[in-house]
Amino acid sequence: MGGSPFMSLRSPLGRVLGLGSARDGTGHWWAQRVSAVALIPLTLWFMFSLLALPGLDYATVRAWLSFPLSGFLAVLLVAVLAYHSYLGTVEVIDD
Amino acid sequence: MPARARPTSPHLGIYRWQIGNSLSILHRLTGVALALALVALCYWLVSVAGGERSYAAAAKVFASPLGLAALVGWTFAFMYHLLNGVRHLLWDAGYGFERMPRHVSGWFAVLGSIAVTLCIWGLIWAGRRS
Repeated sequence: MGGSPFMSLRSPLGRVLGLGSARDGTGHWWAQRVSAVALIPLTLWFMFSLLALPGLDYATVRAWLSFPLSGFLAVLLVAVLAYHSYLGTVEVIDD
Repeated sequence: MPARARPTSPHLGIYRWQIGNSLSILHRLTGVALALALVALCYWLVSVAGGERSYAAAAKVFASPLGLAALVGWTFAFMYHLLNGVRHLLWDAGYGFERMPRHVSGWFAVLGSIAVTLCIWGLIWAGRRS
């Protein structure tokens, strides 16, 4: 918590009341952009793959997801989506 | 809570309704809707992993009127969030701040996402009939 009181521009009262920024804004912002950029190809891959499949019956979908690259990308998609969703909903709730 | 009212960020109540803030609000609404779509995506993926019977059950849920409405809504939400997200990323890179590109790209995001949604579901509908 912010070093010597003589070095800080924040008032002692402000520090005690815990006002001001939460100090992790930049990290949050960067993580949101990086996950957003990662999601552009991932989500488009998922959408176009589904549209390109001859049908959405069980055998076709299973065969598609059994292909190692598809399975890996699908897991990656869910993971990055979850992270990006978490960052986004936290921002909405914080505001 | 401090007794004195602290200055707060500009909030929804004091903004004039215009395209800029409407699109920002829509970006957040579609984002929250897409967070719910993630639950549906996981349900679908798990149903594939679960075998033929669970997949058939999930397919039935998604093919129901409510399921289809959700899928169409999520398609729009995704396309809008994607196009408007690219807009945000371009702003972050320092492009498109002036009034004209801001408004043109905003309308492009709205109309483009509606157009793509109609195209996708039109194709699916046409594919079903043939």
